[in-house]
Amino acid sequence: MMSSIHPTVRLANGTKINGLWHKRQYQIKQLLGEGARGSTYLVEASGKKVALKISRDPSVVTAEANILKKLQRAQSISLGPSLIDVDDGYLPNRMKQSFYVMEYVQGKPMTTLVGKLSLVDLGRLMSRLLSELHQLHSMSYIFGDLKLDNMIFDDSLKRIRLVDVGGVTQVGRGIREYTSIYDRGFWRLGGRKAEPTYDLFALAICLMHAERPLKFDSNGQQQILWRFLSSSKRITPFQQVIKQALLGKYRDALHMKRDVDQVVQHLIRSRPVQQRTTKVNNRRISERDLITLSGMVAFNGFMIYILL
Amino acid sequence: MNKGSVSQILLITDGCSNQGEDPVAVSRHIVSTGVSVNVIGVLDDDQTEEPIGLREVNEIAEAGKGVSRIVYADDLSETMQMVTQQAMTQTIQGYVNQELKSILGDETNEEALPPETRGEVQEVMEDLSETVDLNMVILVDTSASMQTKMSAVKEALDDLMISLDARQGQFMYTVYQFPTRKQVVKLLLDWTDDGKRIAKVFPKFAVGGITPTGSALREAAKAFHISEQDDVMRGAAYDVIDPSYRSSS
Ligand SMILES: Nc1ncnc2c1ncn2[C@@H]1O[C@H](COP(=O)(O)OP(=O)(O)O)[C@@H](O)[C@H]1O
Repeated sequence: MMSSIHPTVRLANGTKINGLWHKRQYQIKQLLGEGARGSTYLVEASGKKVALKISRDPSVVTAEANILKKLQRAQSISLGPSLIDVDDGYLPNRMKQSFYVMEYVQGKPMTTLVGKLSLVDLGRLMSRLLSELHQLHSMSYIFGDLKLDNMIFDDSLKRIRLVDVGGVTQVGRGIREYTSIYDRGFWRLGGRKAEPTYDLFALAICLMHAERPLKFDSNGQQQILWRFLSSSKRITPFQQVIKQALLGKYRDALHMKRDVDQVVQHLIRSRPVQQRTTKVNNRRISERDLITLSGMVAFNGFMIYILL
Repeated sequence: MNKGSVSQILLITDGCSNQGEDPVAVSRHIVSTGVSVNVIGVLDDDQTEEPIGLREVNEIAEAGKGVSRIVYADDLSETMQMVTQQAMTQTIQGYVNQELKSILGDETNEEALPPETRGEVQEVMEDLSETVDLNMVILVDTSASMQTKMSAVKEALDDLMISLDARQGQFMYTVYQFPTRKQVVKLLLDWTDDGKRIAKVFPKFAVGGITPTGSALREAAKAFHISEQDDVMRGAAYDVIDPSYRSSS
């Protein structure tokens, strides 16, 4: 049954799995990741790349597929990957195992992007994510295990997608899947009841990673968080937003979004003039722009020379 | 479906029993009264493999239709939450599979159903494990070798309370320690639903001496029977979801 200690399932590249109920075939291409609830593979099905999650614990598969189904039914925009198939299959070792198949989210991991993006870009991504979280919360669901490892910057949609829905919890219930440093219970800054403030706390911790990866002692001493925040340099403009979210002061995701937007606006306004215009127009300074610019500078210099 | 209750013992220990009754036999008896026995074995920092002394940990939990884990003190918080949750899920799974068999015939269990139906069964189980009442006896080994681990145990129990407080179902717990000088077990905290109280009653110092795990388990399990006469507990004592349904894995 489900007391197996390692729910992960190791499959060699090239392995084929045939669905017993829906008769579709999947070929393993590459391991995407594995964790406490199973393994996720990049697989191919009729020439298309999709992602397959498999676990020794069949209830993990059923539960996560249930959540993906619900999110899909009620959401116009796709925060998570879309669900493609749920089935059982025999592995090369003749064991029967449950799995589900979902959209493969192609992009860059936010774990590495968070330290590289400009604060303006990071703020914009977070703002977008907050709108989508708000939509999720309005459906009475909390994401739960919100963390950088579960965020992928979708290359084609140019926004953050959330993978690994194992922590999604109905509002009012107890959150069971979480990661210590993103969990307000661990820091004794709140409980584990599923409510919007729970996700906003985790999002604040994500933002703090833009300073540098957050390391911590085994027991979550609040002072560690406050000291980290007050001594931060890169994320200073977001200090207030982060603090409010850590303290559970934002009633909902939209209130936090409003403040994030303000910080972004402020950052744009306080940029040097030429940088501001180029960024707002969302294009880089081209070579021609530079020639015109230097021409103008030279002309001005010439005029000043003449006038003097 | 009727809202029921689940009863668990959580035993936290770091070594083998060396006196009194056989804890595996006691555990087998306890599960027959509708209570599952979960065990967490705590390793010393310098222990690299699972020592022989802790082998008993798995045997006790297996006999008690519960869950066991052997971990370092640093990983206790995460583990306690997982063990408690998994044990509850197992008990409920066993119960639901039993119900399914009575509806759909003998050979049916959840995994034989098509994925779509399984999804619906899963939802019923999730609802149950969220709303069912949970009664828990926490039994802490405070023999001398536990001294260095006590603060980690306390932290982890405190953290466990945060998770159990967040559930929708009612939660009641009581805490015992063993051994003590005069008795097999000592009551540290009587049945309560206040998670914050555990930090205040938790002993700072280990006591030392022999480790009569079997006898301690038997004594602590009596708390469930005392509770039936107790006013606070009377409401929760109906409709126990019996862990012995679960086929051992
Ligand atoms: N649909 C997907 N598309 C692309 N990558 C994914 C997808 N699902 C999961 N991953 C990747 O696999 C990793 C592990 O995911 P998963 O196995 O669900 O997590 P865990 O088992 O640790 O809870 C994720 O961090 C992510 O990088």
